[in-house]
Amino acid sequence: MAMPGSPRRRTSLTALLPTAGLLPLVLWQIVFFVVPVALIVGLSVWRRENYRLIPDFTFNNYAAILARPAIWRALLLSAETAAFVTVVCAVLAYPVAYFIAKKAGRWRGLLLVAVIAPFWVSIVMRVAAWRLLLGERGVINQMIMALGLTDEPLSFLLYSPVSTAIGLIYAYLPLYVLPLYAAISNIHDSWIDAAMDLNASPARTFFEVILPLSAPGLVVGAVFCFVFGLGEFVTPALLGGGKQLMFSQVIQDEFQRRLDWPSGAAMAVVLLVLVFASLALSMKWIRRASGEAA
Amino acid sequence: MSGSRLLTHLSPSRRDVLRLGAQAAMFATIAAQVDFARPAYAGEAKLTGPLNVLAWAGYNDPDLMRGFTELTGVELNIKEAESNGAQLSLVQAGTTKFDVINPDAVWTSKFAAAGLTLPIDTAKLPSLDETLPAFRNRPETIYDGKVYSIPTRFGVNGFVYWPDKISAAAASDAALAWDPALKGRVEIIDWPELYLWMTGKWIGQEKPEDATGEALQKILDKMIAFRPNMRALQADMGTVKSDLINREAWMVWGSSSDNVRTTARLAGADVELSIPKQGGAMWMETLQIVRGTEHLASAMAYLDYMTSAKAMKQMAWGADKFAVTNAKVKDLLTPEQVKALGLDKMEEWVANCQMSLAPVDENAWADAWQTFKMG
Repeated sequence: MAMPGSPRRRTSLTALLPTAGLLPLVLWQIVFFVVPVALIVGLSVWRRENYRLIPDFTFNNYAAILARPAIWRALLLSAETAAFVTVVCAVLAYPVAYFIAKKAGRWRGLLLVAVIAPFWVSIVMRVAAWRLLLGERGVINQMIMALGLTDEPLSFLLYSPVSTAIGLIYAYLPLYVLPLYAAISNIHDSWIDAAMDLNASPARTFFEVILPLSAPGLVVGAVFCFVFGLGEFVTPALLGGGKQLMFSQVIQDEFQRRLDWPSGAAMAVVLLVLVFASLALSMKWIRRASGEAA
Repeated sequence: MSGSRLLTHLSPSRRDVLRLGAQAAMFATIAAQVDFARPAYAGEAKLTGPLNVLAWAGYNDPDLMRGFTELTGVELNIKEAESNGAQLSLVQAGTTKFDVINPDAVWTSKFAAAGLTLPIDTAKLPSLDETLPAFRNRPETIYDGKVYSIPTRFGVNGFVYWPDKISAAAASDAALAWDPALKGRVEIIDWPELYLWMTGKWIGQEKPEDATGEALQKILDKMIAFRPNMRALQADMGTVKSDLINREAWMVWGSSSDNVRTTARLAGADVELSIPKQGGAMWMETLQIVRGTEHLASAMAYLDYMTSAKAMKQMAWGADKFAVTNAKVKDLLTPEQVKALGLDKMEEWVANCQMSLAPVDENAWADAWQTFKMG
């Protein structure tokens, strides 16, 4: 029998304490993730009748999604937009992250704060600011006209796929810069110096040393951008001018306009599955790249 | 009674004085809590609260709410409604027990048929005596022969336009919305029932609300033909107004045109409103009482207060500036305010409008609107 204060009891306590430390996180995940997702999944197999939700176990809502081409078009548009935004963010974020990680010196902290500063302002405010910038009487059009580049304001800058893309890239760029910065910071300067000492050109050093070593950051950033972009609602609604319907807007329509919560829930589950699939693929890649999978 | 006993009664003991004094103090305390000037409502029934109200933006105006609480002593909890459908689902969900809701008139039968609302005894609402004749006994407010909803705010839908860009003659014809000269210059809001119904009327359908199948496809085709002119389909009324005021939009179709005109004019934009000769569409909000309310007398008191000239003046000239159904409101506003709200022209506009009705096949209309939005 283990006596109080015995080494065995101390060992079990030592093992329990870190586990107890996880309790808040586990509770958080259960309350704010597992339960809502379970509710959505449960609701997706119910049905609606005369504006009432009827508990059921039917896959008709999923079948209806398959049968509505408009939904697939919206999903495709969301995926295309998210992919485009991800690629542009990667191209724009890389030099920013590299500069902050390797060249900024004592300005590094300030620049990192500048990258995350937009998150301190509500997304609605930021999108509204873009409307002021991109409108026909907005700052950008006024500048273009003042420079004599055009006589008429460019109307396609607002309420178009262009403005949606600008808004999304602006919103997600910091999400790409931060993981890239972390990855590039971990690349020792000596490794880069070694490549140069071995007569590698700057381009070869980048493609054969820096880029592969920063790939985990690229993948994590891409996952952030793609996943958030796939479910984005506010930016397309406010900057897109309602001319294109993305998947999240269709889900909102199901809940608010058609009042068909089971159908909306089924669409949300489809979106969730896509997100999980993206996450699973990226995690698998990261494990393989880091040698964990071997 | 003998003289000695009378004297005894007239000469109370110290204990009697203390007892009577305590009783008098208690009575004074209770009397101080009673406002004898307060009107009694709903057949002298006790007013209880707080009253949970689910209503559109504007009903949560602090001055408006304070007026009711000062009058009745009942506190109001007002939750802002996002749509008629959202009101329906919230009432059905029952998570919050709402006492009064605020759907559009054309949703009255849906709520009543679902057993969610109560018939209203209009005889107990004296403020209704001041209702504009056009809003009395509206068929949209009646279900199964009984009144289920009380009209409050309303509006007309046509075109609001910049007269230096569009002539009055052009604006008097519904075809203007499809005029190639307005490419990318017209804004609308996300209000499917309104636009599909108006388009149906304009292409000659007698009862667009019944449109399904081929008839609905014709409406949809016409709406899709409008897309090149559509600058944006906004989720909210504020944006269409600001885009019109900034002259980025030359015309706003629908979106409660009288309200768009009023707001734009007050912001200095000299825009005009036209109801096309093919006819415009009207909308009307109502107050309805939720079945099962525990505060029926207070709910009736709220309906009476909200339809009174005082409250409706606050709604008309408050933050949102919508037309209201109480005829006496005009008398409480200055001539400038009446003109700004368009109340001097409202009769003419209303005469050229019909109430846009809810579609018979909601899902088909929702599909059609989704297709339109997809482009």
